[in-house]
Amino acid sequence: MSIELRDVHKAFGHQKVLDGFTLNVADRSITTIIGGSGAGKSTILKCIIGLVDIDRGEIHVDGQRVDNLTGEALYDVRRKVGFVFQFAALFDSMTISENVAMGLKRMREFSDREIADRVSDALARVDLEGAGDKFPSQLSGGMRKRAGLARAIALRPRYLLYDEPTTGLDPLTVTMVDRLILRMRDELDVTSLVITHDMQSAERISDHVAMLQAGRVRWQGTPADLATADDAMVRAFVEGRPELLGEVA
Amino acid sequence: MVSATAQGVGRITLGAIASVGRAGFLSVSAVRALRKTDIWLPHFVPQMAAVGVASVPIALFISAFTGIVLAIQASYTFTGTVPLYFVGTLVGKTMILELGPVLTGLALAGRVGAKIAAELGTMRVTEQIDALESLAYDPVAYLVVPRVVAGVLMFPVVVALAISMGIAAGWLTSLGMLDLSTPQFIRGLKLFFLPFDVRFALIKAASFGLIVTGVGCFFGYTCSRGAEGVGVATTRAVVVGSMLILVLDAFWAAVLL
Repeated sequence: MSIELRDVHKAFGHQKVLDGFTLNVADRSITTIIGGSGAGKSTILKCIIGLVDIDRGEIHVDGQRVDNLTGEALYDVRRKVGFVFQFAALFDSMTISENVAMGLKRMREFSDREIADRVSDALARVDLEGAGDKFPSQLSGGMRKRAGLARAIALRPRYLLYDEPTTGLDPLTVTMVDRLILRMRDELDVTSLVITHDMQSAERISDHVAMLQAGRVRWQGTPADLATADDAMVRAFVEGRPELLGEVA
Repeated sequence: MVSATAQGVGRITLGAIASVGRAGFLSVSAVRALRKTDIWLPHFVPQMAAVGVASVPIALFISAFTGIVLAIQASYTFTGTVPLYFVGTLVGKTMILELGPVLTGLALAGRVGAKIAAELGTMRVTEQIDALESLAYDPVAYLVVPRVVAGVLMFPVVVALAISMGIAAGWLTSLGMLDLSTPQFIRGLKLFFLPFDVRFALIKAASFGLIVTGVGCFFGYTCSRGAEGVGVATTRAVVVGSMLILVLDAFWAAVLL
């Protein structure tokens, strides 16, 4: 079981964002998509859970085609996929505990006691035990990201989608978030798809890396392959040397 | 020059048509979401408080001064030509049929419409609405339906209170500043009163509630482009809401009177 995107096309007006994007996210792996700002990386994640409709192609989650689902069938898929937003997207009028409990309440399968237990468990897993009664505005950027992760894992999803989880964080917090991503894979047995343009982070956490360029996968391989990639675009991105782009055909 | 003007008109026309389409789509989604009571009902009472109860002070303030001014102006106009007890007639009829619903509606277009547009707009640009969807909530059921239903039900209550306050203020002004007794004021008040007048006012108020909350939800829900977008959405919610109140006011007068 995995996430598969096959020949996905998406345009906003005249602007093509995805142009035949194909990627297979292996089960229980961490796959990272790298690429420049505005390349359409976040759009890929939003397409997977139906927040953005695709124009053409197919998306499969757990072997089920999801791009044509609507209503309750789509909500069932979303319950299997946790989404960690770039800026956490916490509900600012609710406490952190209430934020984490939101998805659980929607499922209507749990008693108040079970919801409280799951919220405590999710907050403990991201080292936010004492922050449940605080509001998002009272937390630092790193804590908000962890709270967003707690909200995503409270539903015990099979998949976790991370939208730029380390953007805007200091190096120490970036390392903490990277370790959390690895811990989530190991402890919860989830398959993860991470969007980032932080190369150090990508090399630390990834089992597989794919580079998005011009709406499709330009290169993919392991983090070890990244260092030896002979694609000039990949090297320019990894090494942060725009002068290498002159070599791109 | 002409070509640029034509292009500009074309762009605005296409934009307006697209907005009407989006508004229609959101309206249909909201009607469909009405059956998802498990999502919107828990938020209904808080929205009744936010839309209705919190709006009472401003509605009473406006209507009190409107009642005072109506009584004084009526007295000024009628003295020497029309019996003064007609002050009660004018205050009552005007507050019930027109000024109570319309002034309250316009005030709430600013207070309620702007608040809803700013709230939903901020949620949109900070991805909180996407987060709701990712947690398997229908955001229209969660955000739009409780606000609009609260508006439809609470606007008539607020307007009824505003009308009562306006008439009471007119009566007190007549007693204190004009040579009018309570029986005279009540005689004038009852002179042309029809129970239908109250139904007319409440129907108008409910429609204003629908428009103000619906327009606020639409501009907030479809907001984009960060803080600037939230500002634009809020301004449009107030302007379009106020304009539609006046259009609806004329519509109900033409249809029901």
